Amino acid sequence: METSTQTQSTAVHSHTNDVHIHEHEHHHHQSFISKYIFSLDHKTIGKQYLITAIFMAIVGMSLSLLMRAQLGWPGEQFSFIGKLLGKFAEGGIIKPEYYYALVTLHGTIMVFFVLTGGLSGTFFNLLIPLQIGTRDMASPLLNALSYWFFFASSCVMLSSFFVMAGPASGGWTIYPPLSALPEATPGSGTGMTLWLVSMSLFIASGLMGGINYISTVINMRTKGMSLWKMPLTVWSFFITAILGVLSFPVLFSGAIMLVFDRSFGTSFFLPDGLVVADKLLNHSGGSPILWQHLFWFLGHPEVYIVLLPAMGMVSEILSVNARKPIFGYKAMVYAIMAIGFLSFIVWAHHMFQSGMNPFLGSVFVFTTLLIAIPSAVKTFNWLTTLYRSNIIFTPAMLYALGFVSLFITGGITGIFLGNAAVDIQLHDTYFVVAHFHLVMGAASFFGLFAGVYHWFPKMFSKMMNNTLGKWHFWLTIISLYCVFFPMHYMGMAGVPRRYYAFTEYEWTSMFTDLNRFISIWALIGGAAQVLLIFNFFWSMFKGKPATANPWKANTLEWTTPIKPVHGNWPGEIPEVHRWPYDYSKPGHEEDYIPQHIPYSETGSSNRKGDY
Amino acid sequence: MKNSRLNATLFFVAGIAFLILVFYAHFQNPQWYLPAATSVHGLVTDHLFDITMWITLPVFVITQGLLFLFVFLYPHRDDKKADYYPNNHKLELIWTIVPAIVLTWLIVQGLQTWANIKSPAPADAEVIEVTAEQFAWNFRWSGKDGKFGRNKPELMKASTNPIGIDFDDSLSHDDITSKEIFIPVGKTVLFNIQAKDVIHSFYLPHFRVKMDAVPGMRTNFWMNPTMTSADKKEDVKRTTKGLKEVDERLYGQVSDETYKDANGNVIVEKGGIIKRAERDQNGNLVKSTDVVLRLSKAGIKKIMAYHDFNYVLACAELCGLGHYKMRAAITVVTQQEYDKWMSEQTPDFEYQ
Amino acid sequence: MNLSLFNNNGFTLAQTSQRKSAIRFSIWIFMATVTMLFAAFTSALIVRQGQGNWDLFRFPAIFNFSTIFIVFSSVTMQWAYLSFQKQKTKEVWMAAGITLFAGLVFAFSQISGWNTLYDSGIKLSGNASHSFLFLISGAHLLHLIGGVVLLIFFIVRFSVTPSFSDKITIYSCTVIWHFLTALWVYLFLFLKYYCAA
Ligand code: HEM
Ligand SMILES: [Cu+2]
Ligand SMILES: [Cu+2]
Repeated sequence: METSTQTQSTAVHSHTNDVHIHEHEHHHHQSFISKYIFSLDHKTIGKQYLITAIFMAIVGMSLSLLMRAQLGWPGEQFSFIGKLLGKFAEGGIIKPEYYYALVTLHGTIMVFFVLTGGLSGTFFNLLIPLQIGTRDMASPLLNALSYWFFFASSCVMLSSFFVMAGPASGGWTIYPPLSALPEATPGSGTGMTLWLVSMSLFIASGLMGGINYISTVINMRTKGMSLWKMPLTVWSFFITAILGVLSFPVLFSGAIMLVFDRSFGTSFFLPDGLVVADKLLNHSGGSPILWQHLFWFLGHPEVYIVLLPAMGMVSEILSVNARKPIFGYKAMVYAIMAIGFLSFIVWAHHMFQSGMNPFLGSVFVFTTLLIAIPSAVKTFNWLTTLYRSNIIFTPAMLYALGFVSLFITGGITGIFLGNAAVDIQLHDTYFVVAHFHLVMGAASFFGLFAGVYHWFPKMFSKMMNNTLGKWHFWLTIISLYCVFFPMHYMGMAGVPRRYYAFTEYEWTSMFTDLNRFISIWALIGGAAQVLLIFNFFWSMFKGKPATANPWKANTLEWTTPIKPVHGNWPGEIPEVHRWPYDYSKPGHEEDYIPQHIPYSETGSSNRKGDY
Repeated sequence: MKNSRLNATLFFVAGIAFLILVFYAHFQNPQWYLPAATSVHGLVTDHLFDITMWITLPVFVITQGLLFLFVFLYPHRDDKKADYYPNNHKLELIWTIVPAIVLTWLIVQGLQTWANIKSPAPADAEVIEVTAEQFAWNFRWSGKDGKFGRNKPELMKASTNPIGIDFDDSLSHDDITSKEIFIPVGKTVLFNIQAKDVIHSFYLPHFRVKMDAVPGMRTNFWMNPTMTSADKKEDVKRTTKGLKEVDERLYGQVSDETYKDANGNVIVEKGGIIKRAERDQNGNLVKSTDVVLRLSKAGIKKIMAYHDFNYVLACAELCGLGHYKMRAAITVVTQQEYDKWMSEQTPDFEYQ
Repeated sequence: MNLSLFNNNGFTLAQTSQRKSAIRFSIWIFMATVTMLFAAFTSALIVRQGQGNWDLFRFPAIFNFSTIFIVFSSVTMQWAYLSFQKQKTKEVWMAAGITLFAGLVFAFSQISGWNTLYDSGIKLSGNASHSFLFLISGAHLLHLIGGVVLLIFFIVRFSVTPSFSDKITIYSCTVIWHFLTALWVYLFLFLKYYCAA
């Protein structure tokens, strides 16, 4: 493909909104297929990820609503559910086998396909090249491959709904022996095989993406873009990519061993003397706990893989819309690094009650509570960023503010769970469900929403509708709190998670009302997402045209033309002179100074520490 | 931005409403907050829970409050600029060090408690062997000799010998088995836990006991119950009895009087449990058995009722389709009742 | 559309050198991921071994030979690399050919080692120590086959257009080859220590 970038054009060295750019011609004619389907352009790949993730999110959310229908109205016959699910819900009542499949696929889809694949895939692809100033990823081909592996793995995961015995049903953590023995539960047959195949493809996709992101950030930054001038988005993406590259291979090793146990008669995770339905199985000497170590060695970094990018985007969006530099930029970066590092040495806090050596547990109590420190630092820094700021309430800003609130609420309960002695009561109860949905699920989703509203103009050259965005925000945050906050109470009383119904015990029956309340709010919250989806697709075609820098932000992506071009900048890539957070700098007329503005043009506002 | 003021106010009001609701929910339903433990170590872990609550609750209120407050105070004004305030090392140092100190203190407390709970059981503990399987719990006592006989996987048959006791081993001859737990109050009980097929979790919510049952290895947990089942039942009855509206919330509660419909048919007896509709063999709901439905049909608006209470053992690790109903009863009795119960049991060997 | 891994899709010349270093860098990250994979396998082995019921068995002598072969192939790979730097076409040819051959010999001797084990009753589905040996050496061999494919790619390209301009392919071949050699030597010693009688 001939590049068009040799074309002359003026440099974008002006920071007024009407940046003067030559609308030069593109000589190459791309077919639809090469432009939208097998594209190598990072911006297109980002959009492909986003659309796929939106689809997966709709699936994941629908699954959760089906679960909530069962938990809110146990035994109630919903004829449309009966029609929808056929033999899995005869008479309109979801069967236990299907409930467990729902739990498993909901968890898997939300964590991996939406908040890892979707969130990272979309924003890393879109923003890394644009914000560090490069024309594309280090290897566009690898990048496209990464997307197609992701796509294939999504298809395989969804295909398991059409398997006779149903999809995998051992929870998203697929602990063996349950997940290894089709005798033990129907979902551990073909459904589980598909789960493992899908996850292997997913890991391959993640590794290809991760390698690319890291080497792009390290090697491809534009002139002047030193590491300490990178926006916090890029910092968080960078550290996240490192976490992924180091932790996913470990899950892969576990998955391979599980495949061997399932299909080739090995006994890595299967001990001797297993008796399933009165049949003595022929395995020897394996250790079920070994799987848990391998799984959570990925699993914990994974929750930060989900969360850190959201933190990065929230930091950026807060600063832009507060019209104020992010407070403690360096501390924020160090906090990301600390969280990233610590996330590798806390995994066994998921295993306090697993029969693991309790002394080992003690070590993990220590590391786990340590990780609260950088998290606290980040929260305080966000709050201080808002202090004496000048806040513009865009939908993205609302989401960023909502993120901070959710992160505080969900983070605080982590301090209870991290203490092994307190965790005796709380482990595997609804307290955990509340904790991780707030701190990881809802918070990261808010990061995703904030990102979509903020960078939509960059993706589609259109603006999203603000009013719809605000309605969406309010409905979503209210229903999220109403869904997940009450679950803490169920957890304190000890209601275990992954229960098909709470009707079997007197001690759980006091929550009948509460469960109905939760389910109703889950339905409202689910319905509210229609606003977003409508807004998204409607704005893509009918939205107001975007301006070059609608939020008056400092980062480089807003120096690119409104209509995206191949290679991102028609002329030379702008050179970077300053950090990305020069908002409301005293002595400067406007309340922002983009990164590519040299100090020579801003004499009146320059300060001693600037250089 | 003319909307700024509105948005800021909205955010502030919603935020404060949120904080108020959190407390309101709590004071409306105090019974929801961490129900009291009935074991010695449980009282300690609950104390730790409370300490953590007292530390984190102010942090929660202050940080959320500041968030809402700042949003309220600083909506956009065109005639004003934000402060250029990029950092303050002293502040940042403070809010790194203060959480570090507080957390260290929590860690120390937590680890001491944990170490005590996980220390070896006292030698005079009553030992009960727990064997989990899909989807049932089996318990065994060692009998008079104080020693358990061997068990072997190849002998396990769910219907006749679920634990696979090897009766060739004479130690097993006085072993007693049961599908329910009986334990004496005020005495240390040690549970030795194993699983036959997949991972389960031995969970006694009221005693703060939770330990996975893992195939291929033995785990254990010991505890000291502080209240007999009968006392606890009485206690709960006393605190929950009252005139209650006839609606959904009654399910599972106990009626304190006998209620009849217009024809004089008994709907529910004194001491009877208020049940949901039952299912027939075809899985259809039999509405005529639903107590709440019948009460409201009979025009009864309020009834005297109280909560029933039974200690329970639940499974807390996903183990398959029956996970949600893998329960067993656990009864705490006085030492005399315990000894009596024990003397009435017949060892399995004698059935052989 | 040019689908080469190293195409110039949309890049100015100024960025081409950045991309070259990026791709070199990517290779190192890739090796880090492979390292994590084998770190996971070997730590799993240690954990499992610690739980007892662990059979020690005789290592077939052929594994010693395969180790020697792979070390030898690394030397010849380096020779090919240096010759490429000095632009000596014939020597590149020869060294790369020998490396390829040695790599294949390594592969076959691994397989024959497995055969010997099977004949003496040591099977994948046997004791965990047996399973781990097959798993780990098998995973390594798969990676080595990846290296062989890359080497064949280089040789074919070089024979079609014997040019010295593309330095990245030979660089990746060489680095990856050395890495796989080092990896095997580590695995070999590790397995010998934990599994050999
Ligand atoms: C629409 C909002 C959501 C609702 C109503 C919802 C509801 C639920 C429910 C009912 C369960 C099953 C609990 C149980 O039976 O133990 C569950 C499990 C889970 N959810 Fe969500 N969820 C939502 C969003 C999310 C998001 C955004 C994430 C992303 C992290 C997520 C991750 C998970 C995970 C990891 C599990 C555990 C699955 C397992 O136990 O294996 N959920 N959710
Ligand atoms: Cu974790
Ligand atoms: Cu269970």
